[in-house]
Amino acid sequence: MNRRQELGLGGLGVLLAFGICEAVGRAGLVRRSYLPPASEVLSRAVELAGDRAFLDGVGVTLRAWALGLGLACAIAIPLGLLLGSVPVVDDAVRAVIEFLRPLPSVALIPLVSLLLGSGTETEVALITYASVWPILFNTVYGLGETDPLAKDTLRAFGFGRLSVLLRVELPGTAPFIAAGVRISASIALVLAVATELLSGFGQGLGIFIAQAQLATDGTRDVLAGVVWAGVLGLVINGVLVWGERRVFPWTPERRERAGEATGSGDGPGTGRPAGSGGDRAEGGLPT
Amino acid sequence: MSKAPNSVTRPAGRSRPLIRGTAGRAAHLTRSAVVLARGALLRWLVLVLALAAWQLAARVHGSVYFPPPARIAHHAYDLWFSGPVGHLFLTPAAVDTILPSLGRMSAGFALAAVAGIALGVAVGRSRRAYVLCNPVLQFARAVPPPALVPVFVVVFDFGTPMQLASIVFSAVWPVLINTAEGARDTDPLRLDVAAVLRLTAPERLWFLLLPSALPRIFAGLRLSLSLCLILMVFSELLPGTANGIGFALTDAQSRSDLLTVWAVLVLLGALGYLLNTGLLAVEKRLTGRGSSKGSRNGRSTT
Repeated sequence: MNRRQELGLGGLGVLLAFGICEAVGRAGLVRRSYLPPASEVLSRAVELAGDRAFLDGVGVTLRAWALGLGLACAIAIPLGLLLGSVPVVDDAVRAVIEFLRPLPSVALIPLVSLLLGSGTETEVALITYASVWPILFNTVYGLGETDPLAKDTLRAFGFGRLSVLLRVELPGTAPFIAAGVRISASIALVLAVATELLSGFGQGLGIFIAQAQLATDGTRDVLAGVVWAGVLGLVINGVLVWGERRVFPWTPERRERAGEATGSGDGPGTGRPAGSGGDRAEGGLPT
Repeated sequence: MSKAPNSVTRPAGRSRPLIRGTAGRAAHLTRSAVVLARGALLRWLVLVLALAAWQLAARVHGSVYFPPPARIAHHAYDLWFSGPVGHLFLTPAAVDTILPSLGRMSAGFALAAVAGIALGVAVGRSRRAYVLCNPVLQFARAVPPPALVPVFVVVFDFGTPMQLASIVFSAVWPVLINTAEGARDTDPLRLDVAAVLRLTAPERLWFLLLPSALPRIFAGLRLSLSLCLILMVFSELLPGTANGIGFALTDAQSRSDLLTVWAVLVLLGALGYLLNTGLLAVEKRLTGRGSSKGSRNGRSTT
């Protein structure tokens, strides 16, 4: 099957799904105002693309998303490098991390909104907290996967600890970090929407959905918002995958396979990397 | 049907290296045990120190927002675990709070797992079906799950059906996609062997496809489990719910009862940790021998 056929078949799948949604909406299984047909939702979504207020809301959400993700990177990558290269620190901090990580981040929304009020700070703080983990664990894991031969070679030539880190370990780990950032990007979007849905006022995509829900006959708007959220997630993921391929051409298939093989089975790292190097899998992280 | 030859040959094959390398292995084991013990000691020490520092700081500052951990633990104990022995020490409040949440979550997780694995195998078996469904699946996965909860609120109204639907609908995609990829990556050689051996479709599924997809299935299940936990809490946080851990959380928040908020967080953290550890144990048990045994069985069925 060549590329064009695949595209055609995929398009057919999309049309099919659309048709089913349309049919379910029109068949009257559920009340029309509860579940409008797909065409109405889609036209509403397109209409929203020209709506200034809605676009501003999406912009606010995206800004919080980017800020949170950026902060998470700034925290997690250096910390991960430290944990991955100094075993004593890793041993020491591991227990604290293991206790913080399994907490479902959504549960922090009430506490953080009590602490910081229900504004952008809360949203950014929660996004940061949730996004730190995949990046951190992928960084530590990636450091463990770097080529020992290359490290030994550099050491044999008298390079110091720091230059080994910069010349071998960082380039070797970068694809893993990028995969972690991609996983975190989708988690950050989840947290952004969840926080906004719960806070319920202000501006943002989640707030648009929350307010549409309250309106009579608002399901159409809710679903249109959901379509937008999905498109955002898809675009963000696509851009990051594309970027990874472009920026890290040296990541061989081999590494991807290795990541999968080690990640799938055992290991104290719990769900990290079902192929942290690969673009298909995402690490099974409790967020 | 092939259990007998396996159980006969395996101990004999295993025992030989054991005898040969016992001394060396023992020495190695003690050494690594010492390293492990040192690591574990350091971990617990740091954790205890961190908790002690928090306790001290909270005592000194007397901040309402960060109560000392000892008080949080005591409060959680009073709230949920000081019940009679007959109820496994659970108080009535715990029965009202924890059990409904856990019930919804496990039901949702089970439904999502079954549906995801079944559909995933169906989609992954045929290249055409995979290509057909892939774009739709990718989109479904890309939607941030909390965004869909309002839709379910409208369709099902508040209550258990809405919460169950939210959990299932967000947790099914990772399992489905990972299972499909796992089933797709089945070794073609083995599929050929299965064809030569004329395995029936159920046999092929049980002995070949599922075992080879198992690692990927578990990767999906781990993701789903964390999503289940998130959605369980989120769907209970929404106004309109009447019970559950998330409800206890919002209730405490509205009363500005910080102690209960913290206690609920600790409870959720412990729950998340236990669930994740449990799933990992199951995975280790199943994949540790599952893949090789499965294929061996598949080959020796004739």
